[in-house]
Amino acid sequence: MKCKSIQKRLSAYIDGELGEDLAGEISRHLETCPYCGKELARLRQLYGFIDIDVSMTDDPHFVTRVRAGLQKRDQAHLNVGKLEWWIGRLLIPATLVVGLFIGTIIGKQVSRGLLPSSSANFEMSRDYIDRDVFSAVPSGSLVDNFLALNKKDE
Amino acid sequence: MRDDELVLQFQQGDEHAFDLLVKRYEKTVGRGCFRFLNNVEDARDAAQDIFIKIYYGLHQFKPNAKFSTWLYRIMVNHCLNEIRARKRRSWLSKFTKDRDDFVEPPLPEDETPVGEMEMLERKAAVEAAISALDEKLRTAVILHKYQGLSYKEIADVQKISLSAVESRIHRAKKKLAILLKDYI
Repeated sequence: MKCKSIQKRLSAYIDGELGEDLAGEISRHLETCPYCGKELARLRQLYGFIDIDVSMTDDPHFVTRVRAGLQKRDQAHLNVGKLEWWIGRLLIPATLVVGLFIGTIIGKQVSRGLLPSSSANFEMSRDYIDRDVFSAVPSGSLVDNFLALNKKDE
Repeated sequence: MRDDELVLQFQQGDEHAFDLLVKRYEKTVGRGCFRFLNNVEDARDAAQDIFIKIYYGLHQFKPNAKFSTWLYRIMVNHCLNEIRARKRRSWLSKFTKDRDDFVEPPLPEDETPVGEMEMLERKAAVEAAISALDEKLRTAVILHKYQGLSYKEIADVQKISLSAVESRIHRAKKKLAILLKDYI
């Protein structure tokens, strides 16, 4: 094996994750190769450096905290369930009633003439005829004749 | 009692079996979370959330799988999601006016013994270097170096091949050596 291939497997070699044959081959190589030996020492130093213990004190009430968390979550699920029940039972019929109510009011307004009726809309549309936009219509064209007819009506 | 026996008992309705599993793994999960999150309080909260997830997932857990592998998988995914959420929060905080500008006060140098100071500095450097690793490399290093999992176990947790684990650990160490070159 070449140095490059050996060095790729040095981490696994330190971790004892290689098979006996391969580990033996690397050991023999390391005995004769100072370059790979240096790399092994460097890796071991890194291992030692990053080997820091976690300063986390034990929590004697951890199980209780987990149980409380479970209870809280169950309660939240229960509340969501209740909300869904209210939505299903009340919100949809309530929306229908409100919709009907608004529809009735609008219908009444239209029948009393408070909202613009269809004839009023026609009058409004005719106002557009007087706008400048039609001034450039060539004489004798279909649009010109239509405008002339409308003017006669007025 | 073995893990699989406790899992079976829980699935048959014994709630106490779950408490025993929590007691058995709380330190492992807590420390694992700390390695990912670098904060004791966040690690505790994350550990609590992880056990809650385990509680709800345990009913569907199949007895042919290894409980600890499944637990580590949940831990890794939860912590990585938490880190991603943190990144999103810090990105969003750039756009909010009342962002948290709290800066941790420097350690009182005069009162701290030199050895302790060096240890704190080393700890901070290692934590920063591990946090700077890519998600996949970081997970492999934490599971192997700090959780003591074998390459085979890491392969099962991360659902990758053994050679991929070896490669990730090798790459992670190479990067760590570069990041920590001023200290070693």
